[in-house]
Amino acid sequence: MLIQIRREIMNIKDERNLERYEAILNEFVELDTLAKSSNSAELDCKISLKKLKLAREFTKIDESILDISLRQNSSDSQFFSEILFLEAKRLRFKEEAIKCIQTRTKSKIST
Amino acid sequence: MHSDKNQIKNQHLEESLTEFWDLFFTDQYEQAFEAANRIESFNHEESDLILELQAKVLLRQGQFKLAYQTLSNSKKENGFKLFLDFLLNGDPKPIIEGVPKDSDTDSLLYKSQVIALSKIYWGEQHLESLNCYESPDSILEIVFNRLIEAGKYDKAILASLQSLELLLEDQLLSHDIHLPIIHEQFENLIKLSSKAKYTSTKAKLYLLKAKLFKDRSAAEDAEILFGKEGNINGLGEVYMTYAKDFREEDYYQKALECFIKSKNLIGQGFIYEALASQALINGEIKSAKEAFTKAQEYLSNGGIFENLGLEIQNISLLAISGKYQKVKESVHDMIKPRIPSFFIAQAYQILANTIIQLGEDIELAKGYIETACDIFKALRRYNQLLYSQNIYFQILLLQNNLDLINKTGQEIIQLATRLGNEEMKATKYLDLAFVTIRVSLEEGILSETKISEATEYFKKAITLYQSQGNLIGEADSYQAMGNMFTGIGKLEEALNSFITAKKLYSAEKAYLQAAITDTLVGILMLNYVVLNKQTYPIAQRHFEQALIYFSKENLLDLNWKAIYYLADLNHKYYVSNKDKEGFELYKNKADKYYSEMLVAVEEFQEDSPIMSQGGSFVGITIEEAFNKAYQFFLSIDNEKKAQKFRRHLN
Repeated sequence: MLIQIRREIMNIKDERNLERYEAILNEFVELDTLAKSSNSAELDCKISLKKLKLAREFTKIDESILDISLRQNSSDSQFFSEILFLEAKRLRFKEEAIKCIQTRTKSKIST
Repeated sequence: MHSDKNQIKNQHLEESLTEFWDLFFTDQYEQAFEAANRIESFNHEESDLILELQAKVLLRQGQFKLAYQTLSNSKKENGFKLFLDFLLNGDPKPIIEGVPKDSDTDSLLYKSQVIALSKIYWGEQHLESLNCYESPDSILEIVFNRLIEAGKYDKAILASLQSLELLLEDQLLSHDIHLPIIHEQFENLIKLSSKAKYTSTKAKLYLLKAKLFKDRSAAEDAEILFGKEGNINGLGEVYMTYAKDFREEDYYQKALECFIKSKNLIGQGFIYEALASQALINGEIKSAKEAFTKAQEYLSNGGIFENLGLEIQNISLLAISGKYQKVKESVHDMIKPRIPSFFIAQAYQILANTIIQLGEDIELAKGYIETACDIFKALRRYNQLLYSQNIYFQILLLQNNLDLINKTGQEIIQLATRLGNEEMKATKYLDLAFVTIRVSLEEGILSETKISEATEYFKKAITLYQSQGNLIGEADSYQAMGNMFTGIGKLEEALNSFITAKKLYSAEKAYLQAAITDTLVGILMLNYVVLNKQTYPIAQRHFEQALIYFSKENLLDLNWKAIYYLADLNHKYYVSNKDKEGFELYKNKADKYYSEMLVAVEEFQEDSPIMSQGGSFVGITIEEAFNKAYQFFLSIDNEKKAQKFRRHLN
């Protein structure tokens, strides 16, 4: 079982996957910068639509990590450090996602 | 002259179309259909357009087949026709192959929805087998940009909404990552909706926001906005959200009234479906069946997803009514090519449970539930996966592989933590308590330490349920604790636990569970306590209360068992006191209940012949019950009646 999990970790750590993982993060940050300078609702929507697309791509990789960490039941320290390394990437994306919400006053509807 | 005529004609058509779209976007279906009918057609294109508009209205109302038939008279081939075909037959291939990248906006939008739905219900592998690697998000992006360029803000917003709505079904495990971005998208769309023509478009945004973020004030905003535009159907949607998402069940009736007024059949069907589920949870089987029949009436005109959803609910109803043979037949009938894996997994989940109930091959049940888990995992339906894993865990509990039990338990706790499902964590505490006791019993030393360790687990579960305000969970914990105390002979503690469970179930109107607890109290008295003037009436009262419920709800399996327990109770009480005066009464009672049991078993056997052959895994079997009845009648010299049971035994 542990061997199988290790193999899966190696698949995720496959260079191309990790490169994409980094690239998504960078694209995401760039989009956020673009959104800050935008003053049109149309552009804002287009940007957030792109962000959603990126988030979906990100979570596809992300969920494979979660899947492995859900199955882990081992006290192997090397195994944990590998999981932690991948988990850290996940947390960074999440942080970026949360940071990007521009604080807006909730539009309240009057009757 | 001709050009003047044409100009007038075009202007007239434009006005008619504006009238149609005004009605369509504000969900006034009947009026929109009539408006489409009033459009004059002078050529094929215009006739086809009328048919398409009518079909769009029919689809919104839930008349999928009629929409398809209407459109089949049109010569025009487009994405909408292929979309309808997909909704009815579940084959994404025609639209994937028939709508290239440069197609019209509507066709592309339908294609992106088909791909998204296929991913959700069949999984990515299915699309890959059709050589489809297109991303619905990329298609939506193209569509959205085109619609914005054309100034079609309502359509652009609604297209985005549909895509967000699909997120309700998808990727729940990553909601922590998605939610902030979805939130941002909502805020941006709300800002954009100031350019939309219809207030209803904005209202739809708020309504979905309410559902995704469990934000009741957003639903209230939607209610105000729909009300402003007189959108009755929209109001129905809001009321349904109050009822379903915010558990304010009184709103179901209001929603139903709105859907009747707006002639929304699918909306009415969904309400009856929700009412049936609610009744099932409450153990009101008859009400569930009634609501389900109504749901069938309205949803059978829908597409493949609506029909399969109905079929799953039907199978669940059969399972809960104890018609296990029919469950097996229905599941095997349902599994055909093209059926979405999501429904196959649901069916396998019920089948695995049924096999356990029938006392058949545990390995077979394990195989089905493992397949269901694999499917849910591949589809990234983590909530469903959690429940399937839990069934797998329950099956493991029937066997003795404690390592596997612990490992699976840990996996479930981790997944439940990720999903924020505190209730599932609580159930695992209950199971840990159970396992602790079982391990000790198997080792032959059940120390007080182990008992208090298990009791601690129960307390943890109860505390978790209390913090969630979940009375049913709390009751389940007490019931499980009662079972543990029964098993280790702590009868007073067992009785107290059962009585607390019963109180909580009754407070929550969970009648089925309350009746089962009644049966457990009766069994406790019957099997573990000396029957006397104090204990006999307690057992009798609890069995009778359970029987009233089982018989009223036509739960055939539980019904005959409750009658058997009553017969056995009176039989036992009579035997231990037969030389005393006045105990003839209990002999007569036992006679009466055993005779009634014969009729109840025959009724049950008509429904589930296989189960009656194999006997039940849980509780008493028919063979054991008939043996007892046979012995009883022989002991009172009623050879004729005894033979009736003998015949059955042979």
